[in-house]
Amino acid sequence: MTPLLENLDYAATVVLLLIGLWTVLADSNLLKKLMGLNIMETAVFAFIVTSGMIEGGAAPILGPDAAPPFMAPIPHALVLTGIVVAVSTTALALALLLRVHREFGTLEIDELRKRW
Amino acid sequence: MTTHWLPALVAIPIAGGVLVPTMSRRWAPAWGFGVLIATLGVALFLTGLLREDTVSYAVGGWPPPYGIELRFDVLSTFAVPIALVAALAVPFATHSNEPVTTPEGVAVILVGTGGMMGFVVAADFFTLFVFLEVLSISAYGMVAMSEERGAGLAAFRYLLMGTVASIVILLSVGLLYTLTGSLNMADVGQRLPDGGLPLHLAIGGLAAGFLLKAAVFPLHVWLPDAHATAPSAVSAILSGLIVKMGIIGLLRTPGLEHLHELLIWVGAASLLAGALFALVQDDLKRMLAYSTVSNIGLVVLGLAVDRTGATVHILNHAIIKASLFLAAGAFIHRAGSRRIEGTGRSMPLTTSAFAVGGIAAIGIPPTGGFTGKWMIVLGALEAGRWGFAVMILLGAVILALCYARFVVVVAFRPSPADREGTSEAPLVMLVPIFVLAALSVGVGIIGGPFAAFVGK
Repeated sequence: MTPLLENLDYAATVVLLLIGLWTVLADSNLLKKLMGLNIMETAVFAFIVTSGMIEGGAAPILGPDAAPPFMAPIPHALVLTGIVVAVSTTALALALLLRVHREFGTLEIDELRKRW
Repeated sequence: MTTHWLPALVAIPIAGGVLVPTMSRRWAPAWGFGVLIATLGVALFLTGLLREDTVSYAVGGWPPPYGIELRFDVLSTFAVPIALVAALAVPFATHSNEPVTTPEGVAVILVGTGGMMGFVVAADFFTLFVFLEVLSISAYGMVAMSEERGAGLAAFRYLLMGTVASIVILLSVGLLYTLTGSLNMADVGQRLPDGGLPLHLAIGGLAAGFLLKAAVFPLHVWLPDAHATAPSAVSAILSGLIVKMGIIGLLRTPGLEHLHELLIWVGAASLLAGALFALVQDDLKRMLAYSTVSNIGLVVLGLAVDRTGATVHILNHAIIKASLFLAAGAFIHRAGSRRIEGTGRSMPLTTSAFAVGGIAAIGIPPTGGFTGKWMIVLGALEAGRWGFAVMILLGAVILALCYARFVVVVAFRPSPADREGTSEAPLVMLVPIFVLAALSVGVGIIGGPFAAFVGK
């Protein structure tokens, strides 16, 4: 149990990731699938950001005299870029959903199968 | 060795693509073709430099492993087929009814090409992820260009699967960063721990994500819809180039030797399942899409037994599959619908190019499809896995049936009564098909030296 408690933040991101994945796989509404995708993305961003926080870590340039806590800058830069990517994917996905709705009049998978 | 032409390889198509929407409809295709030919020139120049040494470029002057590094190595030679196929797809599409050569369409193709260029030259994992997303988002957009009913849904399903793959890849990149403290590929490779759960999660995650992007059975379900509904010029790009990015990602994954046993089985399953699915398709473009699944399976199997053979085969298959999809596009264009029976009777040139492409896809010497397949078969025999060598040959036999059947359908069946007499495809379609078909034979004839160059 101890390793899990020590890494509670990582465990939380894994749970969030699985919730998102479940929504993508199991929900029958395309819009909710997209929301599941966003939850997954958020989970990964949370994981990368928390990995940049190490207790007792020293700052690389300021040296050991600087006052903690520190955050590693690279994970932040990665997540910022990741968010930009996620926003563009979501925008395109919403545009595609608009088209699907215009063509078929529904976003429910079961209905779409019938009207294909 | 370093040169500014390396970042230019990525910058030229992306900058060119961003500018297209400002142009008139008339000039967009010509501009797109010109930009892609310029990119092809840069790619050929860099491949020429490779004979002496790999080219490395530190972006912004920050030396690796701290800064972003671009690196042109043997795998990056895939830039040549990328630029070539994309360049030929643009004039091909000018004659079709699909809105591919509108300024927006050309922009998506150019930016997607730039994304692929960035992907093959990226030397750190995060840059790799960013360019993977650039090319993936362009690919979803390319599928949605089709005006066919349901193309939006096919594109959305592709986006859903592709983004799940991207998220898993990003998670694995994050894990690799926490494990090694570095993102540079060479640096990560050196600092990789010997084992442990986080390492296996990271490598497994990267492999799973890239296998999904490469459409390996049973993760292929998004591919047939996406590739078959897309406009034919776009299918050539998707099937020839974009699924191969998953394979290049796998080749870039560190510590892949932990997964060889898994890859060999997944590859064999995909090889046979893809061929069998192809056999039962009545639609030519769907058959070609499943044939891609089969060939990707061959390459994944090859990753485990002969990496050089796998690399040779993705280079060749890019050209072969693009020529086949373009020929299919010409048939559909002349038939006016997906019912292409008998169109080949009045299109002997396109039909012969299609037959040549089919022979190359099956892997009969002296075509390009043979070289890589032969190397992978030999690799399997050398590793003592002769059962897999038999499976590869069996897959080739099934694919031969698929292609033979469609040659018969196109060339010997009578055309439906309600269709007027068709004629040979126009020159802007014929020339791209013939350039690609000629290359798929030509690269096979110089197969030995070609494989030696790739293996270096």
